[in-house]
Amino acid sequence: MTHYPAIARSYQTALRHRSLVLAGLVGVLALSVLLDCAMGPAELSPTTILHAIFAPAGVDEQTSLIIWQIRLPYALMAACVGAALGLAGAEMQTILANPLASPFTLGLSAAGAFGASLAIVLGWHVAHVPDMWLTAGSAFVCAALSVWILDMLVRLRQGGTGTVILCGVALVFSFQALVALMQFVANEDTLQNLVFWTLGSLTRATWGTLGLLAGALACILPFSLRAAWPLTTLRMGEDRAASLGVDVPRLRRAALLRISLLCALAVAFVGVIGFIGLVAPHIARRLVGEDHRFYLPASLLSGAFILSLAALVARVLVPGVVVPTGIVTALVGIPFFLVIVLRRGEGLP
Amino acid sequence: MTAPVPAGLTLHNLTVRYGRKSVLSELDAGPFPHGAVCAVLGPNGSGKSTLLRATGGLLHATGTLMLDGVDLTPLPRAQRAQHCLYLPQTLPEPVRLSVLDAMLAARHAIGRQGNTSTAADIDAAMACLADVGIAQLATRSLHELSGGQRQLAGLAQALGRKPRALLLDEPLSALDPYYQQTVMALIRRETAQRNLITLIVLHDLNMALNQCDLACLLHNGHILAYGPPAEVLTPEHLRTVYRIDARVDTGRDGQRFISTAGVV
Ligand SMILES: Nc1ncnc2c1ncn2[C@@H]1O[C@H](COP(=O)(O)OP(=O)(O)OP(=O)(O)O)[C@@H](O)[C@H]1O
Ligand SMILES: [Mg+2]
Repeated sequence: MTHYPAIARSYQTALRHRSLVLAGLVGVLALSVLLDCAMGPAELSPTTILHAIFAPAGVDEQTSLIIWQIRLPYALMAACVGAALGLAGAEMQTILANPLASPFTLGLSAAGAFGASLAIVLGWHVAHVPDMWLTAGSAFVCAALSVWILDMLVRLRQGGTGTVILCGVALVFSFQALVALMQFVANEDTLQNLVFWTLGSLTRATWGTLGLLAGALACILPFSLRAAWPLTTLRMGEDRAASLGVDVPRLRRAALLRISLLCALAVAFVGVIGFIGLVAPHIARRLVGEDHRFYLPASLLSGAFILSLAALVARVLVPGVVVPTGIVTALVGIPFFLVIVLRRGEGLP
Repeated sequence: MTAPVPAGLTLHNLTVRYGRKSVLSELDAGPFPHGAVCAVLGPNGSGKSTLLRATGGLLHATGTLMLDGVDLTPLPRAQRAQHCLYLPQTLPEPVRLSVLDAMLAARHAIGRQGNTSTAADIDAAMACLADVGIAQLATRSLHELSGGQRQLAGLAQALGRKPRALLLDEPLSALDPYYQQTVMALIRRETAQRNLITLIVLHDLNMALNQCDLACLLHNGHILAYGPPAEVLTPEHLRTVYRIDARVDTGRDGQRFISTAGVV
């Protein structure tokens, strides 16, 4: 058999290049999380922060409190939510074969906001369960339900992904109308609470919600990566994947389950945050191509980075006020997005 | 003494429906023998793709599908594709994936096969690309290739999986005359060397007549004729099936030509 050492070498170089891109993304993400902890009314130096995180004994109580109770959950929640949305968006665009697919454009976020508003406006209470978890639970159920509806549509119209996008858009408008209706009938107090959901905000992050989301992400990511090869073949066309022996309906159902868990949890804890799930996959595609072994982690990291950056801007934009993250996400993400997408395509695919 | 296991691919009582409309009903086809290239012919919409997709397991069909005496219908997708691989009529999508990556993805689509190293995988993939004649495109991205180049990449993916039966749906549709000839020669060579069962959908009747061992003519969802191409592609059959007025001539070197005078 002929050997192709030159090709093998250039393939290894390409793999190394992509791994480096991933490492770079981890680096900038860590940096922005650190900055996120440093910025705020009480100026803290990066060394103080690192001390407080890794050697908490050496810093005074107040600093420790600020970092552990306020800044760190907020900063990490931003990264985790961004990661969840980035990964979900990437898988969604692959299984629906549509570059416009995202948790936001297909109505998952809107459904979650509707679920939350139901719980808030109708004032549900269950003994021994904090209201916040009840709201989050309701958001989760509605978001998962909307994914299920979409899945039904996918199965009904085998392969007609255009229809799925249209149905997703219909879902967005329906749920937005319902949320607006809820706002209309809500009183002053609950309205304030509702705004949190519809604009998206990270300020209510706690270690509990953070742990749950990070845990879900850690459980789901290995499954996503295990499906990387079949997902890559799916990008070349549904027929082609099927003809190569991939059980496409099963692959799609498993991906939808992962997506619904990620998005529903994200929207349940922080409300509606658009844009990330849509653009992170595009950025990842430009950076590492569509080999899903790299594309999925790259989308996850890009999402985490953009939201982390947005969270930072949200806090420093107006001194003393935390602007809802949903508002700044697009403002921060768009320049970044344009630079990468409009760059003349050269080098690696 | 036990009865000899019938070799080759045989379809029996195959029925395929799209919704309520049945495209193939109770169709019997074959046996398609090992080591022979069989052209699947018929006009647009006659059910050629449907037949091949059902055989490859991409469509739900009732009936039996025997490959060397074993019924394939109860097998799960992944295993079935190992025996009997369908190459879709549509080209691979122009995505940001290098030709080599696409080859490796096709190779690992249903899990890593065996304990091969990455270098061995690359050598095998490159050998397939070289066979098809596009080794020089290995590092190019699919989104920068022409339609015909992508078709060749798709064909290389299918050949790389080394099935026992190959079902090729118009693999030459986007190729220039040079590649049509080389690819057809490659398919004939692989079929003979690896003793494959090859079905190939063609619209080029002269290609079917001269380069295939067998031909199978579909008409209104059933098989009108099956046998050596010269016996299948007769003026009468062409008239009923394709609605063309055609003549078959023999050239000086024994090649046959179908020339069309018009439609009927
Ligand atoms: N997804 C589908 N839904 C409904 N009907 C279909 C579908 N695909 C094919 N058909 C119908 O089945 C019949 C056979 O189609 P098929 O694709 O098998 O034709 P074909 O012989 O491959 O044609 P061509 O030469 O144009 O590729 C056609 O009448 C077509 O309209
Ligand atoms: Mg066809």
